[in-house]
Amino acid sequence: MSLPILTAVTDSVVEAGLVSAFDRHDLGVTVVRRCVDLPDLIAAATTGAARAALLSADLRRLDRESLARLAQAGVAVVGLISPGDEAGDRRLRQLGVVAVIATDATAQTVAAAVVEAAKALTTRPAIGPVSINHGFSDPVVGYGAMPPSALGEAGELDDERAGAPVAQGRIIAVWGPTGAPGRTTIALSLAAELADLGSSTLLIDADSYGGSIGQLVGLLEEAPGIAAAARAANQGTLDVPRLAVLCRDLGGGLRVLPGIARPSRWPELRPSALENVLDLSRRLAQFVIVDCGFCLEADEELSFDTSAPRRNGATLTVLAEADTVVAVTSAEPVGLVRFVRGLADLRELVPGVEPLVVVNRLRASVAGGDPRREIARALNRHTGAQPIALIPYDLASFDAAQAAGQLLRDIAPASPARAAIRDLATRLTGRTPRGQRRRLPARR
Amino acid sequence: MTDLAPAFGPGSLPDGRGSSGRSADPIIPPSPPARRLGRRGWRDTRLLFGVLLVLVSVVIGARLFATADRTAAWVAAKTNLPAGHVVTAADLVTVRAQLDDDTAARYYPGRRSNEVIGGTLARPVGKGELLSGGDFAGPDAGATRIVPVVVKAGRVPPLTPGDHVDVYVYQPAGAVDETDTSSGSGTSDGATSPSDVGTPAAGGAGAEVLVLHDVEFLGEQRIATGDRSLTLRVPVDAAIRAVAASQSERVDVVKLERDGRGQVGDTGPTAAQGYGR
Repeated sequence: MSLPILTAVTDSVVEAGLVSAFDRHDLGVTVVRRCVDLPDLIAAATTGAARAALLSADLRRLDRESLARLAQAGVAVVGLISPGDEAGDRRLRQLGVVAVIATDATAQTVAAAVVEAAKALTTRPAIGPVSINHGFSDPVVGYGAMPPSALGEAGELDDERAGAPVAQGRIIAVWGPTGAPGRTTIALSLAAELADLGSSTLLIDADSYGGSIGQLVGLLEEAPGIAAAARAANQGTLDVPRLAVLCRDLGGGLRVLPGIARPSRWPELRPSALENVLDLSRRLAQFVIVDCGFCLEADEELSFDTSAPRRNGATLTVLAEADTVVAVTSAEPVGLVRFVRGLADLRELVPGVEPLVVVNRLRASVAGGDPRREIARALNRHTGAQPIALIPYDLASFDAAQAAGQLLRDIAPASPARAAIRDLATRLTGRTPRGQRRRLPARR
Repeated sequence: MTDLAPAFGPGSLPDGRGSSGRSADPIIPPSPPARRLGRRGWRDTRLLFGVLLVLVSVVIGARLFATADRTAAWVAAKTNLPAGHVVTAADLVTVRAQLDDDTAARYYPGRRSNEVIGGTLARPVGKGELLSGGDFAGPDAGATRIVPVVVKAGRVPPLTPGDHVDVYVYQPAGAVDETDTSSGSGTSDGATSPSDVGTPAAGGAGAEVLVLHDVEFLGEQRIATGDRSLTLRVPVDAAIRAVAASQSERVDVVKLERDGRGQVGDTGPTAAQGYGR
């Protein structure tokens, strides 16, 4: 059976030649529509009439988002570039197009590539970014089962730095339910401690509701941060050096990628672009701590018939990309109930990997005589999970750090909250916390 | 313990601190340093500047005040000094005062206090008074004698050193002739004629005689009987009369009050008839 394809080639002579060649010979492909521009192509793709698309690298407004839409529609993409157009080739590959062919290739070669690409799409969940679909509708699947980058070989080979011993950093997503349990605080302190322990660390603020890391670390400028990174990723111009330039170095091995300045800018955090940002960030640091939003709901489907952008797509992307999820709960009863419900949603969303539960704002006044035991028992009963860290409520130290725009480790090095977070960081690096032996007897 | 880092053996990742740009790792590009709020320490440049400002102001102010101090040391009396006193170092003290040039020329500055020692005071000097050249007996001052005169209690008004007094003596056997009575120049106008009021009985009533006129009282000393021994400065010629008067048991001392021009006035009659014993 012949493969129905779409074409969107800017050079009309090349397009006409290809179409007539596909018509004349039985190359296994049939052109069902010659699209004039990108919206036409996407509209045709969403009808489900075609299974592959042939498009030019210089197609106007071609970006990662539109490729994601095509992939979601089940349309494989083959890129066409002018002979010797290296920039176009590189851009297409950075956007995630695997098959790129020069226009001087024979019609047989092009047809074979299209068939190959369509076949690849059916065997792999998506072209380009791994779980591209969760930008729009499907729940996240295969969490933790995928290698960090499914594009692995293709993506790295195309990189100019191919061959260099680039190691993959580990993404730790810090999530927590609604009600400000201290996600950002924990993420920031954890990143600071990891950096202090000697690991290069990158802290990304991907909270689409209230990013505040820039303010917490006392940044004087409103750095473009993750919005600029996502924009560059969407246009296919983001690489590791450019990502590094968008980060800000706090010294001591800690970098930050500030978040969006106001919640209304959430559409800039496109899931497909964010996925690319996270992939590249793995090559920038040993640990990538991502502060994400609280909301896991996907309620856009209730409001829109078509595929609307998901507000929580950024959070879902981060959780899907993460190697480790740290789930933060506040120690108050209300916070615990929210956490128990939120954790159920999280487990449903990302099956397979158990989030690491961190209890924040722990104090006896709200949890009873022995707060550690009470909270641990309650969490175990309702979620089946044991908290991995219990952070004492050291309001004065956190207040001082926030007021000064400094890190907790610099303002209150002896804070018990800092000690607990440092223990957590130490364990995340795979070492044994130093204070473990000393504290254990006191706990019993 | 839960193994939280299964994927990471040691050395599986590039050196951690390299990313901050400290090591020359070409693989991981550096990020621009963050422009952040500085940590607020007490060692602030503003604090330093403030302290410096205060110190400089204090130093400048102190120097300014030091130069603005135009006072100088002057020699003053430590205690009340009578006229005729020979000044010793113990009598003197230096005080600081600012005097204008005209006034300053009259007084002894502190550095010249040695010149004052050994000088004789021509007039009494009160405690704290600055010493001037006029206080001392100059070279043209005539020689004087210091004579004690014993006076019975009640026959002397309260006196302070420097007062000028007249001394009268009652002479029981004396008689007053007309020439004695009119010897004072003040009687020429007849204002105080002895015959005007209460003329004493003549003959055997004795006479009251002025023996010393306008002599300086220097000091007094109480003696055992309750009488007083007054020390007077008298001219050389009058010394013998003063000694003679002191022998008399009937001595009266009269204090001279000066008039508006600082004059003590005329002597008045130098002798008068007595009223008898």
